[in-house]
Amino acid sequence: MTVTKEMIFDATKTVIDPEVGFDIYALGLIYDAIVEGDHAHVIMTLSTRGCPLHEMMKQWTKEAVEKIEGINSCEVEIVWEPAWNITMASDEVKKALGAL
Amino acid sequence: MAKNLATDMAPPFILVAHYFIAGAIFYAVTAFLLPFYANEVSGYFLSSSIASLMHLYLLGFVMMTIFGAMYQLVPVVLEIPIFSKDFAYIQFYMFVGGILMFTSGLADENLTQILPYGAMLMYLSMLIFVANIFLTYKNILRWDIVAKFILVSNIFLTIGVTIGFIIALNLVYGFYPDILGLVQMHIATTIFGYVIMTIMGIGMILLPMFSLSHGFKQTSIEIAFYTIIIGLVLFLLGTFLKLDMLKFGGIILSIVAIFLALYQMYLIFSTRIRKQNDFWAKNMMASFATLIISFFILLAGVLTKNDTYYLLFGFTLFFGFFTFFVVGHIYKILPFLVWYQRYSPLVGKLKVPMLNDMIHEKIADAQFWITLIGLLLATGSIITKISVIFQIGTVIMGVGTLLVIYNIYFTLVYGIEELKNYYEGLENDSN
Repeated sequence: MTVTKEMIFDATKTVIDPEVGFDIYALGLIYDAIVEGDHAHVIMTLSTRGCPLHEMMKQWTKEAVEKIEGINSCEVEIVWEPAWNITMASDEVKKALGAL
Repeated sequence: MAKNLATDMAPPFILVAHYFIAGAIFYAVTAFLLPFYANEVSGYFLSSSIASLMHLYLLGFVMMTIFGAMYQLVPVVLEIPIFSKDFAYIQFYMFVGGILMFTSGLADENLTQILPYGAMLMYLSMLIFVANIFLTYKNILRWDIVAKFILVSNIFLTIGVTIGFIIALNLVYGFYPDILGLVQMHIATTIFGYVIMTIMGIGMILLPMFSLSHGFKQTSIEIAFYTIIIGLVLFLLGTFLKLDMLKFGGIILSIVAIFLALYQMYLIFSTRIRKQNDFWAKNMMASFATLIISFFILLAGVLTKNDTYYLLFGFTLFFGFFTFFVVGHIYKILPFLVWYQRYSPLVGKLKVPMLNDMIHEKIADAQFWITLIGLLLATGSIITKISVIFQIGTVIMGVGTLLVIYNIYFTLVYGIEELKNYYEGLENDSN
């Protein structure tokens, strides 16, 4: 079975930020996903640079993606450019946070 | 294996918990004692028993909680581990012992002889803390404004506690005549140089993180950083050399720096995405409002030379600004620590709570309003010099403190039963 980018994105929807209460995909933290054979490369950001959950978020994302059948390894890269902002989040998140 | 900031770098939960729990106990003790000070606050400006209570509150609650938070935050912010966790434990026990001996010696004439020993214990514990921070900085890779604030605030703390130790010895042995000058330098370096500069620095991490603010400029806080350093240095030189103009210039620059920092906090709040005014946001707004009010009171004191204003300034700064800021962040940091310890290994295996679930929201909300009402009454009583209102106000503030303690307990025991059943279930399954 070929693993698609959308399948990677779906897996990231299982990772919840416990401070905000939404999954990292809905928050707009996932920028891209590249699949090469059985290896996945996820490019994501965090809402704050000094976030104490920095490494945990990476680890949870990696574990969630590696659960996909057909993926053996996943590398998660945290980037700070472009900086995250609320326009990247889903309407549901924006509404819940009072930004819509 | 991926390096994990919160496990490899930050100290264990139990270490930070030591500081937070001791801080809460000292907070409760101060709240219990405060109503008994009704006659003193309506009369004198500064007595040794007021100095004792102020130290109990500032060292026992405010600085204790800040130290605990710093052990958690410094590794995350600087992206390097704390130099020594053992130092942090040694510091804790020396600090607690020092506070108890020092404040008892200050409050009770019969215990004066233990005062210098308490002061020495506390002084050494502070030196261990700053040494731990300075040695941590040896490996720093990224210098941002937060890192600069933390470093400089610890330099001021070193100077401040050294002066404090000299004052304590002077109280007993009386070798230096200008005690007032020393006290002023001690207050400037510890409260403004350490506590307020630390709050200004870590505020740049905590406020945007909890309010989800982005896209604000940092120019204000960068100017504030240099302005407050110059202001405090001028104040110290002016006091030491007895040059009033220099001293006055230092005060003005320090106040300008604090208002620049407040403007920075306003910029952060005005770009916040999280618009809900939850218990954290309310506490932050109240803390900054009381800080602004306290400086207008200070200005009134300088202009009228009326000691009551100085007492009022200290009261609103300590029990307004510091209380709201520290309590607001206890509500954010403690649930994270407990959650991390208890639930992070279970992510993906069990439905884990959100951090906000780990605070009793209604109690936190009630506590905010109760503390605010008590503070307003107590503040009013200092102006009107009506002791009974001070007693009523501080008793109400004490109820607020009890509610904070309840919420700390609520967080510490959150989910214990449920998780016990979960782990017992796993054990039974494996058998």
